[in-house]
Amino acid sequence: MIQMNGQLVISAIVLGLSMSGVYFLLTVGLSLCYGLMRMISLDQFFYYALGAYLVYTITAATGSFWLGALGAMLVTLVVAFAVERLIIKRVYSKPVMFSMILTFGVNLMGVGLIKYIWGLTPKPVASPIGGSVNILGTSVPGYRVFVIFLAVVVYLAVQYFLNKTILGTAIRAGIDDAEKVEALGINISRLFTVTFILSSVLSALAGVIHAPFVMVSPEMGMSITAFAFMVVIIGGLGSIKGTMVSALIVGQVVSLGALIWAPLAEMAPFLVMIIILLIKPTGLYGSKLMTR
Amino acid sequence: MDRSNLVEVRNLNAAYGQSNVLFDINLAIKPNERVAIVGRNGAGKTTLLKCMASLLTPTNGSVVFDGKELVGKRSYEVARMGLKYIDQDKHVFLDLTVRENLELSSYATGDYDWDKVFKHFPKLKILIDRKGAFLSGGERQMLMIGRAILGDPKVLLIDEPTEGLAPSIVDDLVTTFHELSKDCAILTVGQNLSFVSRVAERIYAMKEGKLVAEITDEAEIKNNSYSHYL
Amino acid sequence: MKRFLSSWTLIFVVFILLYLMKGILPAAFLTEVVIFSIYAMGCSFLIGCLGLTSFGQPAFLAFGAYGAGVYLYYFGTNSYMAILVGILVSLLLNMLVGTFLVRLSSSYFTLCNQAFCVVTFFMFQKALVKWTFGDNGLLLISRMEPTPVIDLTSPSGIYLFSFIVAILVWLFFNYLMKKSVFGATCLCVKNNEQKLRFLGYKTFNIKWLAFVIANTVAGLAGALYTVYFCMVNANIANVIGAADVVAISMLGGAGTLFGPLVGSFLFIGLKDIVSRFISHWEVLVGFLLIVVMLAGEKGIVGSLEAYLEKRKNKKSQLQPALTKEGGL
Repeated sequence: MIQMNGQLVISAIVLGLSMSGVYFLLTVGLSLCYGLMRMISLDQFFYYALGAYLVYTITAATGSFWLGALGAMLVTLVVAFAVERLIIKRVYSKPVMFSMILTFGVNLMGVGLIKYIWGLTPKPVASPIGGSVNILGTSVPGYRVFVIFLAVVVYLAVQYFLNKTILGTAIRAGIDDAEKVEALGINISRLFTVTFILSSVLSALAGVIHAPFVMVSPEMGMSITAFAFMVVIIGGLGSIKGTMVSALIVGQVVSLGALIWAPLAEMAPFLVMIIILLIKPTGLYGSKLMTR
Repeated sequence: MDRSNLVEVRNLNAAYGQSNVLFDINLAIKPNERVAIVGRNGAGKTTLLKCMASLLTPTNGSVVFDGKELVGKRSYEVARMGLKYIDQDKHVFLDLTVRENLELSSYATGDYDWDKVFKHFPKLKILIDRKGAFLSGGERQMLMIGRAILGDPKVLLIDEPTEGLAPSIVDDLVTTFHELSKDCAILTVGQNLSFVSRVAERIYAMKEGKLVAEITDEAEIKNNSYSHYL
Repeated sequence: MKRFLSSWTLIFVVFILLYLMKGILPAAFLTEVVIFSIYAMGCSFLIGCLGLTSFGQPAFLAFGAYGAGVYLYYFGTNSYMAILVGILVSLLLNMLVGTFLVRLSSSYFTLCNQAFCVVTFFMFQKALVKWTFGDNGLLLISRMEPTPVIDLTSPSGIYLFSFIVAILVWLFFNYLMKKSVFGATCLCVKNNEQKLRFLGYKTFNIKWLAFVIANTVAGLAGALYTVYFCMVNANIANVIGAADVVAISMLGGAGTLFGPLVGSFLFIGLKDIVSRFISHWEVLVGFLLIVVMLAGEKGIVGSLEAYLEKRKNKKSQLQPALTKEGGL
């Protein structure tokens, strides 16, 4: 047992919050895709890894992390668009299991391509923001604070998009009843495409900001899968707020758990998930209605 | 094709899997006409309407609207062409306010003249910021029709409009139908014979997937004597 | 002729033919195909007959593998016993785990299974490394003694034994899927669980039993693997391996009798050939999965069965359930 002193705890809380940011960015896409298209888009983990690899390459080539981040999101946008038009759009009307296996295949193929292009050795990505910030007497890496800040901005942006723009309103309506949205005269497959691309870009962003924390490796998608699933299961698929709350929970459980006993970091979310599912098998917010 | 017809359905057949539901349906609707299809539960009325609106795909047959073939088109294309379907489940988007529901329809049709909606349904103006989940059955029905008339459709296919509504609301609906038909044709479907008799100019009787009778005589419509066909 | 080609005889025919191909194809390849097809049979049964997709099958493979491996490393030297222990360990763990996992709806089931597999991998690789030696694993060659009747320590012995086990497994599943009421009930669960519950069936129990059966078969395959390779390491539980078994199940045809065998044969064969040219087989597996799903998800045997069924129906001029007069 590590001695719990205030500084360690605060440090862990901040770490947990930054992890929550990464988890949220990754799972909000999963949530949106399920809510609107009733599909579990497992290829989001590929876009996450792709984002990380692209920021590595572009940063190495240009020297600017920010350029790398932008480039990563743009390239992923194009890739996701291609995947959606060629593969995903054919299976929208099929049961959920179908899309799971299909997107699992896309994810796998993507990982193989990553291995082919970049090789197997893990790549380092330097943190774009050095220095530290003083929070309640504890010195915390500045970059972590930035990640938290960025995640909050994205959350607010997504909420704004969904609630204040017409496209977002159409998406919310589509999550409720896609057939009726189409019956009103709206081209629903365009809506699906937009949602898919948005989800993928956010997943890529998750990869981009996570890259400085971990070594960029082909398995990084797989490693984070369990945590992403836990967020989604605890928060329920289809609720943005649920996803955020759940990401906060999982982030804190992982970081504070690691303080108590290192292996707990890996196991703790799983335990929390089991407990919650025993009580409520559809997750905390499990409803198909996208709430604010 | 009879050029005076706005909508013509010819030899329409439909099936759910192996189970045939519609058999050689032939019907026509003229502009601004109020037509009704009556039949028991399971007769195939909703299926017929959905096929016409391209929400379901028939196994064969054709639906011609305004001179254009509808079978094979996507439902949003059909809606934009001016044929709108209003579902019987009275499901307005629960998380969206009345305003947002109308905004969606305006976005789809390009028609932002909401006054025509409020002319028929003044109550919607009062409820403009209420979320769909908190509307009563009658209010939802108003909203469903209200958002459908944006874009000046030429035909409304209204499925079981009186289902679950209080009698006073049904009375309002009769007036609304008469008002609406000044601007577009209405094909309504249901089992409520008294409502139909007050609204329809022409009635098709539907039984077990087939149209078994067409009633045009005003007296017959009023006294529901066609019910024996069902 | 029909009796001769009944599924019971077909099982024997297919496996005996395959066994005799030892001269044409490498025995190592055939052994791996057979053992993997046993593993895939469980997975295929879950997906095809119950509608439960599990991306965490390696965990259940590992239970059996480690059960056998730990026995051979610490307790005894008899391979038969090891396999038995592997099966028992797998059975007990599956019974326990099943009670948690099976209560979940199908999407959550899939996700949780994968998460469970990640945790299991972590357990075998790191948390229990004192007993399992993690990635290095347990090396068993020196700990295994020749066994009577069929010597499982010799390649030809394990080869023959795998085939015998496969035949038994296939006979069991033929009965389960095609002839038993339980099998039919499972299909009902896949089709419309809610309706079945309204009819009074306890679907949780059905799913739990099917889960235990399928994953204990996977555990049996794991135990066979340990005995065949004479070792077991944490990599067997790696969640990456989940792709292989799901791909094989879908490629061959989920829920069909011979699907797992056909899928296993083609997949391992392809992997062997392709890996000489391309070093990253994931591209192939992923591509195969995409192709199979876009082609209609029935897989090879599934599509064949559907085609044969269609021809049979055309021949007997089946009358439609509704005539034009009667309507609904």
